[in-house]
Amino acid sequence: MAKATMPQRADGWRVTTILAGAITAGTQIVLLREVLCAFLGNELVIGIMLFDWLALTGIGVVLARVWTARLRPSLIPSVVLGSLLVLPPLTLVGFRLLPLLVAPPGSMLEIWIFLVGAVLVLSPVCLVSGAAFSLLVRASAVGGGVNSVGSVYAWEAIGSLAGGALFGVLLFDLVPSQDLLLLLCVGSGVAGAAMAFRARERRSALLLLAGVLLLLIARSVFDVNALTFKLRYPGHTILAHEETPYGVLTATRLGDQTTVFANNIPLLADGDVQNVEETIHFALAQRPRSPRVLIVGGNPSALVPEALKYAGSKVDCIEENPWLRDFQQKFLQPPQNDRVQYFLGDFRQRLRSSTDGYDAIILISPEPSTLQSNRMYTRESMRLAHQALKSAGVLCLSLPSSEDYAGDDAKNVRATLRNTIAETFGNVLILPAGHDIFLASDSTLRADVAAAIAGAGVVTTYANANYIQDDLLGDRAQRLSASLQRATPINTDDHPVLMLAYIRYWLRFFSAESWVPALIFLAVLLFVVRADRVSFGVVAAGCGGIILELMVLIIVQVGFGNVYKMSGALIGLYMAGMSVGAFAGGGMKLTSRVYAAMQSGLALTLLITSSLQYGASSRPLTGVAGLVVCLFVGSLAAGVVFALTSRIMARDPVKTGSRLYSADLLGSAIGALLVGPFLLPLLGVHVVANAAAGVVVVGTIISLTSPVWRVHEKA
Amino acid sequence: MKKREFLGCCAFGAMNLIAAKPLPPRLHAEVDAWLNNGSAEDEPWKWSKEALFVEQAGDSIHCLKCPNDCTIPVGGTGLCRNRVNVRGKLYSIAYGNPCAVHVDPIEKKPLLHFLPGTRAFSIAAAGCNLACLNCQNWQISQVSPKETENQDLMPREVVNECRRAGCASIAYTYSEPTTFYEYAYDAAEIAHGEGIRNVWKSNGYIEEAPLRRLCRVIDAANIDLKSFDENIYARLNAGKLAPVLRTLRIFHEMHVWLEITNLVIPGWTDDLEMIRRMCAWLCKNGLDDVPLHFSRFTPLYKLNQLAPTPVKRLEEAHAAAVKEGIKYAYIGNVPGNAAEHTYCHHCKKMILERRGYSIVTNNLKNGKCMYCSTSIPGVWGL
Ligand code: SF4
Ligand SMILES: [Zn+2]
Ligand SMILES: [Zn+2]
Repeated sequence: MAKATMPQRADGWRVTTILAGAITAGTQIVLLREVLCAFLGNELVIGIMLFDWLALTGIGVVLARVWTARLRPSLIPSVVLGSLLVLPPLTLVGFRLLPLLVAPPGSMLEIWIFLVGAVLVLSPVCLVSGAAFSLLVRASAVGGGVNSVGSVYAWEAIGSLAGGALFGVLLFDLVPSQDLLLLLCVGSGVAGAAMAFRARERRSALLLLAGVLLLLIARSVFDVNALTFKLRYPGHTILAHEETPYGVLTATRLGDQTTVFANNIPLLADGDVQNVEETIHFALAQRPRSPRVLIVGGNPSALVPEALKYAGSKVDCIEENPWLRDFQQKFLQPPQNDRVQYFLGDFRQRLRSSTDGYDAIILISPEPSTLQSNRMYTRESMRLAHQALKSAGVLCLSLPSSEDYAGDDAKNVRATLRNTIAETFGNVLILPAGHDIFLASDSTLRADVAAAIAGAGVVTTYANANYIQDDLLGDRAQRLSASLQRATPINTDDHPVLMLAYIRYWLRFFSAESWVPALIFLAVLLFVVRADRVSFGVVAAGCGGIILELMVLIIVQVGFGNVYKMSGALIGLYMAGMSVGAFAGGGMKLTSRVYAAMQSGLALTLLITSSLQYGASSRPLTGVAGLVVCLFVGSLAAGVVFALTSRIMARDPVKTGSRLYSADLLGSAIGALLVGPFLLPLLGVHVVANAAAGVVVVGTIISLTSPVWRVHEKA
Repeated sequence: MKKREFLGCCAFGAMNLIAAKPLPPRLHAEVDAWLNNGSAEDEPWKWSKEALFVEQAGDSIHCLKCPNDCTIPVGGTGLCRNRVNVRGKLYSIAYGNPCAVHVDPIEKKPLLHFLPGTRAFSIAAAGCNLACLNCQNWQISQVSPKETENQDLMPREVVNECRRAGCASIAYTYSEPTTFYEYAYDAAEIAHGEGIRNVWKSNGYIEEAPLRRLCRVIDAANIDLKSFDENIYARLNAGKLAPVLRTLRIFHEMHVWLEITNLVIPGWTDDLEMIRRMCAWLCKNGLDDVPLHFSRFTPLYKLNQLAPTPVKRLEEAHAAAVKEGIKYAYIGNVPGNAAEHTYCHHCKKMILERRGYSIVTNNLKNGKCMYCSTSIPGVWGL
C-alpha cells in the first residue's frame, strides 16, 4: 500500500478548504430559500434556522476531534469532499420533501415539528462541515502551516465568499439553485478525486468518482421538482415555476382559476371579488371625483378595472418584484389603458418622486411578519405617503380579517398599526370586512361605504348594500376601534415593533409561546460556558460580527427595498474582511494591546453603524458608503481577533482550532437567533448595536483576564 | 467526547425537542392546575354552571355531550376547553360570558330558507370540540373562555339585547355552540317562550340525547358537513363523520328547519365523486329538500398554502348535487354567482332572485311557487 512509502502529507488542504467553504455557503443559501418556502419565512424562523446551522456546525467541530483522530492526513481531502459530495443534495431533498410528507396537504408545518425537523435534517451536513474544519486544520498542520488555525479559517472564509458570490450574484439568473449546488458538489468531487490520485490514494479517488457518477444518475432519474409539484399542487397544471431573489414563484391553473404562489402561499388569484372590491372601493368611494390613484403591489389585473370605474380616474401601479411583474403579464393580463401607468421599482422611491399628489394610495403587502413586509407599515412609509397625497387624500392598508373576534395579540397588531398611522394622519378608520381595511386621511372618512359607493354611481358585484349593511359594518367597526384603545410603541424602520407583534400573534397558531426560543438560547449558553476564558473573546467577536452583518443588511434592506444583489455583495464583503483579517492576524505582533485594539475596533464599528443616517435620509449614498466601510473594518477586526487568539492559545492546533471555531460559531448563532426576531424589534437598531458593542467589550475583558496573556507577555 | 460536551449536546437537542410542542390537552390541564397552584380551576367562577349530560366515573367525570367522549379528572378540562372538573363536579365555564356578540343578516349563517331578510343576534363563547386546520375563528375556537375577553351577558339579557337590536332570532354561532350548550339552551328557552327564534350554527358534533333535548327550543340549524369521508374528518377536523350524519337525520326528523354547508377545499374536499356520494346519502335519507350550500374556501389559519376554490369546481359540485336529486343547492362566498337564487324545484323558475343578502324579486306566495304552486320548504315568515 501507498501509506508505507509515502510521507503523510496532505497537499490539497487549501483547495479542499475553499471548496468546502463554498459548498457550505451554497448549501446554506439554498436551504434558507427552502425554509422560506416550507414555512412562513419570517425573521424568527430564519433566526432559528441559522442558529441551528451554526450551533450544529460548532458541535461538529468538537466531535471531529474525537471521531477522526486516527484518520490518515493524506486521506483528509477526499473524506471531506466525499462527504460534502452527497450530503448537501440529500439535505436539500429532505428539506423539500419532508414538510410535504409530514404536514397535512396545504398546511404550514407545526413550529415544533419544524424545530425538531430542522435539527434532524441539518445535523448530517452541519456536523460534517464542522468536522471538516477540524480535519483541515490537522491537514494543514501536517503540511507545516505556522498558523494553521488562522489560515484554515481564512481560506474557508474565501471559500464561503466564492460560494456566496456564485449562488447569490453570479449564476443566480442562469442556473436553478438546486442544480448549481449539484454542480458545485460534483465539481468538488472531481477535484477531490484528482487530489487523491496525486496523493496516491487510488481507492478513495475511485470511490469519489463513483460517488460523482451516482449523484449524476440520481439527478437524471429523480426529478425533485416534479415530485414536489405532484405532492404540493395535486390536480393543478403548472404554468410556470421560477426561483427569484424574492422567493419561489409558481403559477398554476386549477379549474378555471389561475393562481400565482409566492413561496407556496397563494399571492394572486383571479376571482377574488370580495377582496378586490373592498380594497379599491372602500378607499376610492371616499374621494370619488376623478381620483388619481397609486396602487402598490397586489394584483393589478383585478384591481385596476375597479379603479377605472370612477369617471376620470388615473391609476399608477407599482410593483417592486420584476419576476412577479412578468408572471402577472403572462398569466393574469393586467389591462392596458391610457389611464393606467405601470412602474417597476421601490414604492418609496415612487412616493418621493411623485409631484402632483394622489387622491388615494393603496398599499398592498403580505402581513408584516418579515422585515421586508413590515417596511410598508412603518412611520417612514406613512410620512412618505402623507407627502405624496393631496391634502384630503386617503391612504388604504389592510390586514387579514380579525373575523368575529380579535384576541389580545391580534388587537396588539391592529393597535400598533393604528397608532403608527395616527401619528401621521388626522383620522384613521378601520373597517372589519373580508379584510381589516385601514383608511387614513387628514380629512373626513366615511364608514358608510356602501352608501358612498352607490353615491359615486359605481356599479359593483360585492361592494354594495346587498352585501354590506352599513349600520352593521359601522357597528362592528366602532367596537373594534374601541377595543384597540391602547398605547403601543410606534412601528418604525429601525424599531419594527409591528413585526414582533405579528410574530407573537402568529405563534398563537401553534399555541406556542415566544419564550420558547429563549429556552433554546439558554441551553446553548450552558454549552458555551464551559469554554475557557480566552476564547470568550472569540464568542463575543463572533456575536458582534454577525450582529454587525445583520444590521447592515437590515438597514440597507429597509432603506432601499429588496436589494438582493447588494445583500449578496455585502455578505461577500464581510467574508472577505474576515479572511483578510485572519491572514493579517497571522503575522501581527501578538500582544494583549493589539488584541484589545482589534476588539475595540469591532465595538467601535458597531457604535458607528448604529449612529449612521440611513433610510429616508437625505444622503443615502454617503450612508451606504459609511456602512460598507464599517462592515469591512468590523469583519477585518473580527478576523484578526480569531487569528490572534488561535496563536495565543498555542496548543495542539486541532484542539485550538475546534475550540475557537466552535466558539466563533456559537457566538454567531446566538447573535443570529436573538437579533432578527427579538432584540431588534424590541429594542431597535441603536440599542442592539450598542448592546453588541457592550458584549464585545465584556468578552474582551474576560478573555484578557486569562493567564495565557500574562504568561505570553512575560516570555 | 467529554462528558460535559455530551451533556451539552443532549441539552441542546432536548431543548429543541420540547421547544414549542404543545402539550396534549389533558396534560395541559394538569400542568395548568399545578402552575396555578390549583387556584384557577379550584373554584367555580361567576360563569360556571353545572354541566348537563355527565356521568360519574370514580373521581373523574364522563362527559356525554359530544362524541369526543371525554373522561375528565379532578382539575382537568375537556377537549373543548370549557368544561372543567372542580372537585368531582363538572362545570361549563362558558355560561353568560360570550366573547363575540354581533348582529348578522340571517343569510350570512347561511340560512336562505329561514326568515329571509331578517337579522340574527349572534353570540359565541370560546371553545370547540373539533380542531379544523382551516378554522376561521381559531382565536375563539381553540382557546378556553378564561383566555378570551368576554362580555357579561346572562341568558335573560341575551334575549333583551336581541330584542333591543330588533333581531328576529338569536344565533348560537362562530365557535361551537355544543360546547356552550347550557348557556345556549337557557337563552334559547327564554327566547322561545317570547316568540324569538333560535338558530343553531354548528359542526353537528353532538350526542343524541343532548341533541334531542335541544330540538325542543331550536327553530333552525345550519350544520357543517365538512366532507363525506371518515378519514378526511379525522385529518382535517380531528373528528368523525358518522355522528354528524346522525345529527342531520335527527334535526330533520324533529322538524327543526335544517340547511347544510359543505366547504369545498381544493385537494381536501373537492372530490366530485365524494360529493356525489354525499348527495346520494342525503337523498336516500330524506334530506333531499334540505338546502345544501357549497361554500368557497379561502386560505386561512394553518391551511394557508392552498389556492382558493375555483368557482368552476363549485359549479361542478352544484351540478352534481342537482343531478343526484338535491332540490335546493346553492353556492356560497361567490358574490354574484347565479346559484345564489332560489329556483322552484318543480317548474325550475326563479322564485327568489337574490343579490347577496337582499331579495330583489320575490315570486313566492304563502310559501308556494307563484307559477306552479309547489310548496317550497322553509320558514318564510314570522
Ligand atoms: S363537550 Fe367537551 S368535554 Fe364534553 S365530550 Fe365534548 S369535548 Fe369533551
Ligand atoms: Zn372549527
Ligand atoms: Zn314552480
